Amino acid sequence: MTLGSAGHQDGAAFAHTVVVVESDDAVATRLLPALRASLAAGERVLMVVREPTAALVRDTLGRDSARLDWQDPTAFYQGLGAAYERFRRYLAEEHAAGRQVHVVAEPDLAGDRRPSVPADRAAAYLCYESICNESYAPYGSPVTCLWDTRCYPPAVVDGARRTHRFELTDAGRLLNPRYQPPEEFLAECNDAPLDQPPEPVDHDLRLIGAGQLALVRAALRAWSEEHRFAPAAATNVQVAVTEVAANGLTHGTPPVRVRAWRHSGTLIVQVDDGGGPSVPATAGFRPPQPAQRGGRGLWLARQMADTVAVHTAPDRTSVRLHFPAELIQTLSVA
Amino acid sequence: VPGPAVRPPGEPLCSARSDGGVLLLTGEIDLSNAPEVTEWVAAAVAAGVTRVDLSGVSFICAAGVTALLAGRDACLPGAAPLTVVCSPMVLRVLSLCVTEGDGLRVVAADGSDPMGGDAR
Repeated sequence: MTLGSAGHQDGAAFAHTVVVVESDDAVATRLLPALRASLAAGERVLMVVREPTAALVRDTLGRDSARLDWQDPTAFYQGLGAAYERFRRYLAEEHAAGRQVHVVAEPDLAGDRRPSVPADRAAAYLCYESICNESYAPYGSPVTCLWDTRCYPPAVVDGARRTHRFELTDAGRLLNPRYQPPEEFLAECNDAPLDQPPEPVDHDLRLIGAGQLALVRAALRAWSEEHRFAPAAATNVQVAVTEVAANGLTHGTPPVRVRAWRHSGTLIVQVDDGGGPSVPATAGFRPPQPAQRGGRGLWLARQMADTVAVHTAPDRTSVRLHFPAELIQTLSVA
Repeated sequence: VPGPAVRPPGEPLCSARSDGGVLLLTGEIDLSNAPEVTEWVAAAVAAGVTRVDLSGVSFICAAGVTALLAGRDACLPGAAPLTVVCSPMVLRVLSLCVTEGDGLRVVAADGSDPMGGDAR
């Protein structure tokens, strides 16, 4: 079965499409027909791709490439949770204004060549690729994601396939049999254990009550500032750690242990408690709903950190937060 | 817990006072004092206050947001929104986790309306 160019025909299903390429030729044979079809249909196309891909598309489409909206992908450089939420709000605004846009995105996790970005950032990115099947669905704008096998290991490319309902192939746009619903995909991510924190760490604090949260915040603020985090970025660390530690006190078993260390330009904080009800796989990934009472803590932590990895075992809940300086520092307020 | 003291011993993390029909909170709001904040807001709302000034609040988190909502709901279920005046830090947190249906009108301490129309 071949489907339409970008998926407007698919009714309720969010047209989240992966295109896996292993060469420049594959970009030409798989992605470009979809771009031409969108342009022919008069659709607005927002291109957020890496420069090599942009150059290839411009060269091949020629003058038509000026009809695409080009956005600098570095504008998306910020913490993962914040980037996905900002984009969700953009899609919501377009939808509210009665507009649709075909978004063509290419992850630039090249970062991942920068030493300060954690190796598992691709895994965290894929978690958002999974949940956006749900969170972007109401807005009717198709999203096509390009993954280049020359940039990513096979396991990451496999994750990309598992998080997109459709795939653009040489035969056109097909339902992707590898697709997993977000709950299922995220549950598998939650199963991955964390490696051991280093020893010694910069801070190793134990809390038995909420009255100690302010002391932890003060210690981590001073620590962030020692590592040249600007006030806004230090606030990110304070909020995220307060939320996760408060969850440990409320839902887990005290004492709650907070360890903080630095790896290259990234501040890392791990919060452990003695275990409790397992953390739902989707916790903190869904935007708060109107009139929702609790349940904002992990959402805020995911907005404030770059990545938040959760691992639950019967006798322990561990949450690890990453704050890479160059991503968190780009936040400009407060 | 080692770490620097954040305030003189015995001084509360957050304090409240009423001034001209406005509830003013000063300090930090977290899980430790969220029940007090709920009570302060509920009592103020019951007394006719429709404006809470958090421009002197340097820290708030999800427990604080829940406390504001619970205090508002204790006396104002479904009624007029409670206006919350925000410091920059509070504004940043509320704009990430408060939605239009929550019954809070979020304004910056400088008087602007950062939440805008239907955006959050």
